[in-house]
Amino acid sequence: MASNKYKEKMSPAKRKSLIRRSIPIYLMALPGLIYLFINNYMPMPGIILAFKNYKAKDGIYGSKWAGFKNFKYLFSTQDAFVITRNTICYNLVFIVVNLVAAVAVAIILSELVGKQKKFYQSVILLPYLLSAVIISYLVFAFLSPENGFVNNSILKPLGKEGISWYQEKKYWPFILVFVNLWKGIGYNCIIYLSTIIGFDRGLYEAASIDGATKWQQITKITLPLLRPTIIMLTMMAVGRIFYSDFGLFYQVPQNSGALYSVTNTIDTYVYRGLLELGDITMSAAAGVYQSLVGFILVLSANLAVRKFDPDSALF
Amino acid sequence: MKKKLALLLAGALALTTLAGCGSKKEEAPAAAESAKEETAEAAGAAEEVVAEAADEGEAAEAAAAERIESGTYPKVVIAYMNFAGTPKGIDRISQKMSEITEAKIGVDVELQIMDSASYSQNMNLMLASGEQVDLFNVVSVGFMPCVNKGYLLDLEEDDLLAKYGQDIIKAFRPMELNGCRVDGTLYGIPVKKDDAAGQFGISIPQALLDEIGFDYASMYENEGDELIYTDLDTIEGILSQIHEAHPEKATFYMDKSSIVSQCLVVDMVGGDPFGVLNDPVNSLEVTDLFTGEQYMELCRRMYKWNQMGFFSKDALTESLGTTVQVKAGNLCAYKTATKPGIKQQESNLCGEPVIIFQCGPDFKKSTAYNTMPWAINQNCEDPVAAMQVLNLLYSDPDLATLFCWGEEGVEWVETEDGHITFPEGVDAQNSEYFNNVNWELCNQFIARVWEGDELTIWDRMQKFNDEAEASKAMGFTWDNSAVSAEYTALANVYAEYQGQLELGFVDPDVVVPEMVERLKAAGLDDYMAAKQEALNEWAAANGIE
Repeated sequence: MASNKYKEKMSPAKRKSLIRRSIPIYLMALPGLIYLFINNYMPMPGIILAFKNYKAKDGIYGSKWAGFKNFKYLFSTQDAFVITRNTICYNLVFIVVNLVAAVAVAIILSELVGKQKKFYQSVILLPYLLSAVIISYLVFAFLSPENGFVNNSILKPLGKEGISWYQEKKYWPFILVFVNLWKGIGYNCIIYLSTIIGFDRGLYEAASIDGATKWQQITKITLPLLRPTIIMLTMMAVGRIFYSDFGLFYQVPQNSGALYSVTNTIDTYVYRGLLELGDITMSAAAGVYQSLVGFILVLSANLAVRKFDPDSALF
Repeated sequence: MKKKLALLLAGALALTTLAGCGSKKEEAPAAAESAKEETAEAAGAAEEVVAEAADEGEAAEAAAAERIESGTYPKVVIAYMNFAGTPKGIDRISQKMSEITEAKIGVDVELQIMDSASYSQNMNLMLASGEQVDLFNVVSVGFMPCVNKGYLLDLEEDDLLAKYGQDIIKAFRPMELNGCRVDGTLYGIPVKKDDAAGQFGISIPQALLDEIGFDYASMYENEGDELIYTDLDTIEGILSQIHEAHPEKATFYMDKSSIVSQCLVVDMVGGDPFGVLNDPVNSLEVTDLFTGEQYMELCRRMYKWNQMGFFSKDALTESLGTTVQVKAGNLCAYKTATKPGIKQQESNLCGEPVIIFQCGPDFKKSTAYNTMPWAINQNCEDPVAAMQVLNLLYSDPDLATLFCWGEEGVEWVETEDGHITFPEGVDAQNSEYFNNVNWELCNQFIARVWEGDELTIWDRMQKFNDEAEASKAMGFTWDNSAVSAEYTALANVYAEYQGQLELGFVDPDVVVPEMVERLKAAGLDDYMAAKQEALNEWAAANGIE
């Protein structure tokens, strides 16, 4: 809404030329928009599957309505609480921890120069490019009760008893947060880093001439300038708070039953429950539930942001 | 600005509705439907002409003759699953099979072979989208899910089976076909395979037994027997000796997914463990597996074995199959279900000779016939042709051999004693059609016998199937769609405890009651009651006490 005033002042002729000048940009965006339309909008009518008693013979639209029957299994047990709690709490922790770490790393990287910077950036980014299965075995190499590094090379020399990692629930909240951080930090800090690099160097020069320390420069210049980016990325993360990284929660704990109460999220619950059933209406119901709640969360987060800082609001 | 946004949204919505490809999709099945009706009508008309003077066998001949005469051969697509993905020779084998089917019934066939990981997903997509696939094995897609979603054709519609599948009817006893009926409608044709399973078989490499000096040779009841019948205490003795001799290896392991089904004499009616027949030979009472004595005993035994150090500490997260672990030298003994030919099969898989012990009886579950039947897609344009191809697959030895083993001279050659084996220079790795899934391919009993198995193996298999104790619920199919919410919740609870309990990582006397409590909270009683009700109805309809 901030741009409103600015646009109203424009004369029609000026606006026309602006549009004309923008055509190449729209053209550039076209493939992406087409993809977005095909991939995200066209399947949308499929939402009604969640409310149907699907029969292949009758087709999606011809099948009978089922009301909210397909949603029942999500809420019918005490598991509903556990999986919702796990999904939301893990994601909240991820959002906070990842944000702090990513901004910190981005600032540190921005202070480095030349080859050094490229080297560190690549090394930090590397885990993000690994598939969840590979990561799960890297973790397993550390935690395997029989041959793992932690049990054999750390605990044993210290004279301590080995731990059955894949049976002990209490360690997993920390392990998962750590693995998630290690995996994602390189990617998360890229956007912050590129934003920081774009800042006017003159501000920092002026500040240092005025005698500001590095710390003061960070808190008084970098962070305030970063605020819109931080808010935007955080809000996008909030929108996905009902989704979980399937690989992280399914592969990394090696699908160990003993850990379900701390590793089961909505996604893994739906996957496990429907693995044998293969019921597409029930999976559609879970999808609808996740997107609906995610949608409400984004709207309300945006509402809150608009209240405190209208300039940073997404819409 | 707001107006614009609203306009944009409205536009997007309108577009989505338009582009929802709804109209097109709706038309497709309708068109298929009408096409089907037409063909059915045409077939019906053709039949009427012959039906007056002819019996049902001649209807099939007439349909075949008509197609051969017309010179246009309809194509029947046959889909099944293997473990290695589409084999290189698939087009050649399709062509070879077509040569036979063209000459006999005037139909072309095309094979579609997918690997086990993607089969279920691909089939679901193909069946839902109306892509051509006429005959397929429902293994891993699931028989009941397919029936519930309406993917399968009623095989007795317009007397399809009676007219065009006479050899199929001959290949089975009525009871076996009835295993694929749901509410009286026949949706599938079972595969000729091992229908029973020897419960709680233990496979141990011969070399290990020799090493610890265990005298297994005297334990065979008759000379030349394949199996040694024994009990778990004896096995426990052997395992502890092996454990002493090889503390660096895991002594024992079981594939987690099949412990209850391959170890206990319980009938998991409908294939899930929530409500089973604990005394399946005598009673149709649905009882709780987990509070039953058999399950508790199994868990206690495994707990004891785990305490004795038989299991690897990594067993809970193990994802490799048992025989792969033996081959790699990490595992000594494992559980398997037994059947005629099992010793050869496991020896091949382990890469060394093994001795098979069996601690339970031979037992035939109610799911024996409907885990992997062949079915015709309800979208199939020419069900008559599809049924006739299926009929040939069950009755023509040449076609069955092609289907199971590939082409003579390329994939196999005949040996002097009448077996078949790889030609020179060909092996399991470089063969262009070596699927090793003959248990899924219609009628392996009439195909050639591969070297290593006795030529009489299928006679023995038939005897094994006939003599095994059968569950009283034989032929019952369980439709859990009305209680699918409970099922999902139960499956999740069970998954949490299953590995820990059944591989003995926790004390069953403490943990089983805990699991039962949570299962009850998730609706176990309702689920079992629904199962019992369906079973009673089925029993009443079939006159079973």
